[in-house]
Amino acid sequence: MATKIRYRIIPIEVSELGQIVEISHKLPLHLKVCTGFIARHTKGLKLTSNQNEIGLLALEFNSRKQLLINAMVGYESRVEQLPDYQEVNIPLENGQLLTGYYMDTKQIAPADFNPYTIQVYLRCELEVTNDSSVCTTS
Amino acid sequence: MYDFLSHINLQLEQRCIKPKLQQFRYLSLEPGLTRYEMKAYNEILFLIKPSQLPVGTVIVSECRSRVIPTDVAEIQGIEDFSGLVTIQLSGVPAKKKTIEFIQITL
Repeated sequence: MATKIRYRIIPIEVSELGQIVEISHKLPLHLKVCTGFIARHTKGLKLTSNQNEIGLLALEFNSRKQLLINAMVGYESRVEQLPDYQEVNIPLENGQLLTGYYMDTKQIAPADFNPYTIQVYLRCELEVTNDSSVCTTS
Repeated sequence: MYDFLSHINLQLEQRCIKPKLQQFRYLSLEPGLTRYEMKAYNEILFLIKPSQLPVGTVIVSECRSRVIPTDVAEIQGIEDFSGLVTIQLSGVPAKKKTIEFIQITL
């Protein structure tokens, strides 16, 4: 069966140190499975060095039926290569909510802090091509 | 008064969760201590009286994170936490206090 890949981008705006941003995003009806994700800083911060962690991301799929992503979000001062998608295999129920939170973990010095944006990129497919079962990202 | 038990049962049903056990779980806040960790793996903890915690307290868990807001006394909703739940109080409690959760074991 042919698959068609669709991408969803979820922007998260962080305006203060330690802020917790709630995520509540309705996925479209036609998406059937989520096969990968990337969460990365895209604008705002201008740090001189890389940071392994600037925040924590948690995502639950299918209207809170499954907690499937807990990931640290880092900062790259120079982006030389875009990261690969982290593989997941999450069957999606029709049009259900994607929920969760992003928390700034106060790893940035207050003097260096600027409001910033994190983008979560979801790679989804329209059709399920094989037997998909719920898995975690660990 | 908002019926939080009905809310919990409805939410569990909506999330297709069949609990093995539902009971109260308590956390004692000791004078002088500001950070607490509760292990709630394969469990859900509903914080049923968030106003017991000082404003500005940060609760972090795998599924949800919350800062206790200034108008917490006016909020009737309850929230759930699971996994490793850390509670960072915004101030040092002057006396011993007990925080109440409803524990759902999966």
